[in-house]
Amino acid sequence: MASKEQILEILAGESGPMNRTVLGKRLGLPTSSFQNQLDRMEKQGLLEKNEQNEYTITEAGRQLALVEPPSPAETPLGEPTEESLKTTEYQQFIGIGKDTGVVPMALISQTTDHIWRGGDFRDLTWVWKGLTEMGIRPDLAQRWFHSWRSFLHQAIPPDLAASVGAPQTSTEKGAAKEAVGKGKRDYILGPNDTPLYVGEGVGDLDYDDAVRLSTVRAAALARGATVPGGQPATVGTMADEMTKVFNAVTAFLGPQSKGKSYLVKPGEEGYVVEEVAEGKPTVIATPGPGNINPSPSFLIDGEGNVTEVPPGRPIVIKQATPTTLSPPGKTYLVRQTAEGFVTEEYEAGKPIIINAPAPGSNLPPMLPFPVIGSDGQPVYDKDGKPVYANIEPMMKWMGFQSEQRREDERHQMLMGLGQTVRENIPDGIQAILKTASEVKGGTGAKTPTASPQLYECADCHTRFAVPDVPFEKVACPGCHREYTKEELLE
Amino acid sequence: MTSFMARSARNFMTIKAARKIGKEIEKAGLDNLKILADAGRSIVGTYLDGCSAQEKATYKRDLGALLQMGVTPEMLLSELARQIPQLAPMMEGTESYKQSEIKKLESFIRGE
Repeated sequence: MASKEQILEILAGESGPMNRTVLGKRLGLPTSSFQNQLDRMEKQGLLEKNEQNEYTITEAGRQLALVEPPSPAETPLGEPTEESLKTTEYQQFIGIGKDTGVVPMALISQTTDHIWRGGDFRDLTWVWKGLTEMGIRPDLAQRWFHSWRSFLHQAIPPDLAASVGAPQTSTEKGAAKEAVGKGKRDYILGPNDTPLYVGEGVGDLDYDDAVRLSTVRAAALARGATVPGGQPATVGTMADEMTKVFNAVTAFLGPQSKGKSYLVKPGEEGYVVEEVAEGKPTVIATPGPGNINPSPSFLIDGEGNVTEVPPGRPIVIKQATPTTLSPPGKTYLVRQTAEGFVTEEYEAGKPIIINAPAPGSNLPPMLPFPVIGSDGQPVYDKDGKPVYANIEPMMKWMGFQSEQRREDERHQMLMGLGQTVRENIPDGIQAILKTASEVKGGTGAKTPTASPQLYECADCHTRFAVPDVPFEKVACPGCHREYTKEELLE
Repeated sequence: MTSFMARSARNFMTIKAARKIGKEIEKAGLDNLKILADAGRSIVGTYLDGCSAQEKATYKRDLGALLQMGVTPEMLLSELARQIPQLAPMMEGTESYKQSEIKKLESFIRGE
């Protein structure tokens, strides 16, 4: 389902109304999946629908689209969101502007929109440029900028060091001279109160100050207090910080660092990152007697997992196996033999040679028939091999049935033919005999049929013929007196 | 010259056709036919008058096919008399009766 922000974002960029089909294509979703969302947004007054069922974003919707950054997922109703808590960067930036004293409110909104639309609000150089372009008074702009930089936990960009720096007083000038003697301001105190080297001259503290401040806060933490920021410095957050350091180092080293393990431990100048050699044991030095609350060390393995390492415990990184890829899928060959179907596992890369059946072999070239379960997926045995059904007996039975049916039909046809022949054979023989007699009696020309010999009944004087078939008695058709063959011949 | 097989086939068809006609005669009854013959009424004409148009068309087609094979109405009646000897006196009793029956058959085949 498309989110409200996605729809508003698309419609805000359009100069005219848009129908659902085009909107669906832009969202990459079917129209049915976001129709309810459109209806809701129309009721909320964020969208307007014209007579052609095309949608236009309203002014309220446009404002919402500009204020609300797109969120990847919808927040359940009733739960606090970043919007409701006023913790989004956009809202924070406006809040800082208000606190700084910039007036009127419209100027704050306009400046914020300008910075958000014109570039990346995390880019301090752009933020300072945006503030300058919008004509914010220089002292207010500096305060707004530095507050925002603190919010983002970023150092002053080197190219802005001169332009955003506050005018130095004589006291500060002396302090600066002293700082030059003690060290450059290359460090800032991270959100977990750890000294963080951010670059030469672009930090807020020199190393000594950063360590001292870190120690003070760590001591306060050990007593159960919370850091001034209000967020307790837990091991988990420390681990997150170590992950950031590790990521920075791996980004610097590039692909060479892939798969390597690193040890992040406190050094003389803050945390240092060391690569742990594979197979070589490494031990974290036990702190001296005076160091009551030492900074923890962390091990970051090749996959980026961070583990706290207690002092004194040896660390050994196992040598990576030559192939880190997941094992490839097994290859099985199913072939038909005289004993039935045989499934064999084949090694990857090994050629598979399938022998042609020997000439004269009665085995049909039958393909293996995989067994499909009720879920429509192939069935595998305990070893993970696909199960194949031996359907040869069934095929033979079906073949036998077909052969039997054909045999029955052939038998019926032969029986019918035999019956016909039986019925017609006498007539056929008579026809042949008649033809033969015709041929014998003449020259081949059609001979008139000889008239049968007529007899006259002695009683009723009816003339009648005898059938042209062997007979013993014949009846007179007139009086039905029966005459034997001998009587007729007499 | 007609081959032996062709003449045998013609004779075979004649016998079969006569046998079929003979079955119809048995249905009608020989006595009734004798009465018709004695009265000088045509047996063929009487029988055909009692047939439907469809039956007439079938008989005309079959008889036409037989005629084309060389089976004449005279051959048919002669074969019929041979198979049913009781018919012979009726056919031969009056010479003109048989000839009139043959002519009736021929005119039926020609569609007259």
